[in-house]
Amino acid sequence: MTVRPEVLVAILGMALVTYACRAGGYALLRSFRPPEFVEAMLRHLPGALFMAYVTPPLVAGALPAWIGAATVVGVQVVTRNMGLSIPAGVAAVWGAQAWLW
Amino acid sequence: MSESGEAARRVVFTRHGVARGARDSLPLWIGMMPFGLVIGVLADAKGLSFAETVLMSAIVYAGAAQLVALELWSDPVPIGAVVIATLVVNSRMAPMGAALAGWLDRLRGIRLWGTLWTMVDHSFALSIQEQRRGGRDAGYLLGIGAALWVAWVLTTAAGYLASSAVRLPAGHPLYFASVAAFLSILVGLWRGVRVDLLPWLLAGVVALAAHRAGLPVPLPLLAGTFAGATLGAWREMRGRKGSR
Repeated sequence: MTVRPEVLVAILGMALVTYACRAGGYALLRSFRPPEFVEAMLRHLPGALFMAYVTPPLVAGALPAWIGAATVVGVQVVTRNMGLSIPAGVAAVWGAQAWLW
Repeated sequence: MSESGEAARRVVFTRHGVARGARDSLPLWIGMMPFGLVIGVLADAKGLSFAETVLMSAIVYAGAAQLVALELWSDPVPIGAVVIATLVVNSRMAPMGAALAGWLDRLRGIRLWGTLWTMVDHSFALSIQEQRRGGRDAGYLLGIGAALWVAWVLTTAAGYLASSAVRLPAGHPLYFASVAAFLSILVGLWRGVRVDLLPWLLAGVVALAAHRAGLPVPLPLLAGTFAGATLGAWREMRGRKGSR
């Protein structure tokens, strides 16, 4: 049950900037209206962020990763339930790996 | 208290609202589980102690950011890199509070700043839906956020303990759960071909190019996000000018 000092600093730093985003964003945007372009960027940020996150590993991944990705998207579109789409995707990767190798 | 129209529309914050939020969050626990397990497994693989892992989940409480930070993790910890990556990933939360201002503006003190502390993608999304249905109990937002916090801390702890018991080899299908979680979030964020296709493609292509060029993390993530969001905003503004 050890907490190293430098790890503690890193975790506290992460917690601090996270709260700054949660609360500071509300506090700032409540008092100052940001430029329209910034507001528009914020609306587009989530999709761009997650696309930037998933693209490199998917492109680097082999066929099983693509089968898994198609499964996740398909199940999510139909059921709108992450509790189904995530396990379905993992199971598809598992099955595809077992089948292909 | 008089039951005037004004009072009927007033935003409240009740124990009942908190309980209803907690109940509505239960289906999300299943979706959160693989994600939390992956964080726990990854934290163990990166050499964090159990206490450090639980502390991070408890006070940062932001899955996507923890995932990205842990992928950057090494010994000694690159403190600047993990904090900046966390800031970049969580900057998406900044507009959430503003979008919920209809509720939040009526809260004061610990109810306001404490509720904001628990705000996550899911509690935000469900609360926006609740607001649109005419819901006026801001406790709902806290209920979901607090219940998911419990699930989050428990599943990361479980993932850490499971990982210590059974070492998962690199490339194990379970690691796909993190990409899967982001893909299912993307499905929910999709607003149609006309709005999202080009910005999303650009974000992916720029991130990939930066990654292939050997730029260190989190630069590919930053570059892709910034490029996609800028293109999306630019097209939106241009469209607005054109329609005038």
